[in-house]
Amino acid sequence: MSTLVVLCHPVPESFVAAVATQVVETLDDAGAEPRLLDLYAEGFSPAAAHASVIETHAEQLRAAEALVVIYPTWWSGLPAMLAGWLEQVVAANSTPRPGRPETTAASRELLANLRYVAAVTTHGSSKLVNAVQGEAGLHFLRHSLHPLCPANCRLRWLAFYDSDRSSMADRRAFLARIDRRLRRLA
Amino acid sequence: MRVLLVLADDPDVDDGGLRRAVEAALASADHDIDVIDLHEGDFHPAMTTAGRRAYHSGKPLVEPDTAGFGPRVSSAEALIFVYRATWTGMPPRLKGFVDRTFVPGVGFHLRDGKLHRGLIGVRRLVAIAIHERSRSDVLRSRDYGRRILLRTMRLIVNRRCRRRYVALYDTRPERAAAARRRFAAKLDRVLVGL
Repeated sequence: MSTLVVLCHPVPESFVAAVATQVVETLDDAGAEPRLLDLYAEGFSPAAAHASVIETHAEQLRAAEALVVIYPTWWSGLPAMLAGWLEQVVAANSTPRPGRPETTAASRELLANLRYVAAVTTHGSSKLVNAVQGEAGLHFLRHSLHPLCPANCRLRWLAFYDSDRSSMADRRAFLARIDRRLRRLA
Repeated sequence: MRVLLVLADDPDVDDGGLRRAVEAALASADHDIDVIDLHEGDFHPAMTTAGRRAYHSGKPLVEPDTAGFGPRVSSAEALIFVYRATWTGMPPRLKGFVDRTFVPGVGFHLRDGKLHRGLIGVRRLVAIAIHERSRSDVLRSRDYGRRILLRTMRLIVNRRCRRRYVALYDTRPERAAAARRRFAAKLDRVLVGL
């Protein structure tokens, strides 16, 4: 079993980067062969990535049996970098163009081996504020990405709310929760 | 009304027909228009490392491509977003504009971790979108762009801000004629009557 772990955060010493370290460690320990793809470290271009880069990433995704995306939730949704990666790698050949309806075949083929998709994300504000704001990221994963995955593919949502007011203990507790939940999945 | 028009549609698609229609409608009314074209110049869509490090510093928008956005956003009375929806619901370029511009000190203020409105001068939010998908498909996928631009943003603009969504669905040529006329009429109505 191999797992593609996509990390999207611009600051290497951020909590989100620490979360990624925990995810990789847990998956490694569970024998899930994690492969880390750090979009910022790679210098991925969210608007105009090179065709060869897109092809390489698509190959990694096609070979993966699980996908973990790690990102900070900004304005209730995915950061532009991760959205750009999904647009270009996952939806590339399925994107509707003027006068041409959407086809999902290419995206489905790319995601065909996935047993689960897990989103690990941090929210600056509380769960209540995010509920009012509409949780666009969660809805995107649940209603746009997940339906393209195979029927038995599970979707898991691991969210850390209120990170702007979190203590060190809260953060440690979240890392422990990730460890437990991913072990159960892997 | 002081209008800030944020153009995120690709000017090469349909020969920029969408943005021309929007600009024509705004020009026919007596609005004071400022335009940010995200396809022009060297706007970088993703939040940068320097930008993120400056996020909580109290001196945001440190980079040349976003430096001018702060005062332009703060002085606007209406924010109008123009885009063609993509698979994720809005172009990453536009999400990048939102991520990088509406930061603490500009879009909102954080005091003791609590969110306070930063754009109380903004009384109108308008999103103008063209979807290739049918309306039912867009509703099924929960319209990410509309959710962020008109719902999430609600917490940082004026309490009495009026919100309008002008959308065209299913652009296949054989389906489009009547829908296009309705779209154009609504576009005029909303923009002239801001």
